[in-house]
Amino acid sequence: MTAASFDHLRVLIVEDNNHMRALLRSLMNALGIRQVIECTDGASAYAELRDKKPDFVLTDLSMKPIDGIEFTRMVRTAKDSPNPYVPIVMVTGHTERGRVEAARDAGVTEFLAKPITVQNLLLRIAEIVERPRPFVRCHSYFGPDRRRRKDDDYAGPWRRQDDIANDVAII
Amino acid sequence: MMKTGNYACEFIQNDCYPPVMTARATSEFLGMLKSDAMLSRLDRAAAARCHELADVVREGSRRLEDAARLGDMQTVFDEAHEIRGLAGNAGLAASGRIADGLCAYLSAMTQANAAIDAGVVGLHVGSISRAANTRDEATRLGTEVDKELRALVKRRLSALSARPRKPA
Repeated sequence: MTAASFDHLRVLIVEDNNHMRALLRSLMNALGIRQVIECTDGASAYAELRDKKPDFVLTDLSMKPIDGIEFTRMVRTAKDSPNPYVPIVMVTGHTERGRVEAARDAGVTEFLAKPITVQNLLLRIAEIVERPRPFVRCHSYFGPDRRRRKDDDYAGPWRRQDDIANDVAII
Repeated sequence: MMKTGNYACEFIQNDCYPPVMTARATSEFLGMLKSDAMLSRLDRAAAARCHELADVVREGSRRLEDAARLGDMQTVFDEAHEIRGLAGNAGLAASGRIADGLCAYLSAMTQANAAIDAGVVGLHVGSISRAANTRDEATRLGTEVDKELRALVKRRLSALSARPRKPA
């Protein structure tokens, strides 16, 4: 199968910098993805999500009036969200811990630091395609399971519905 | 183990929502993604944008210098942030790293509500401009300059955190 076989795939790029947007578009085209929808902020991206139904999203963090964090939160939790499960890769130069945690807690699927490398971009796309994560719904969060590693020594608190149902959460 | 709170979490497994593509397409797509041919094609696509992005970084470094001269630290941060995001893809890795260091310094000082040292900013800004206009900048002075500037910022931030706190 050639790259041309993936021209049915649709990607939404949300990025306010023209040059970064052009770079991401070139890389998507090189991957064989021809249907590239481009937006410069979260508000227009949300509308395009509804109209064009992309298969995954690449979004920047800092944009106005709606940034990538707020956009992600809207996609995951808004009552009229057209696809709360759409994979979202945040692509940003903001690598401070607080920002990464905010992106994680908004519900991004993957995080990619700028400057982007081809290898890291491919790894993130491979992850969202090959290993789609379960989603978690609780009182304060809806989005991909944020846990990256399995900790055999974890001793609680136990919060899963089936933990409570199975009486795991009792001394 | 003790139950804390009354939180309930629902897990929605990945077979309960639409996948990005079918299982067969996924297997073929992944095979293609991991091929040397694909890597080369993507490298060429990125390289094709290199000159354009280098010009953008150089223009950004000029705006950065103007903003620093005016003492407009918000614009300094914004321009440095754009440079750190683009410079690596423009073949100007050292400029990007120095810009990242400048962003880290400005963020830390702002968060600590401390006065920003114009001298520290000036050193970074001047280095970003010189690195952006020097051939082979990442393997020559650029890497050394980045290291020295990060050491300077680390010393300044250590001095900041060592200051006695005002009583509440």
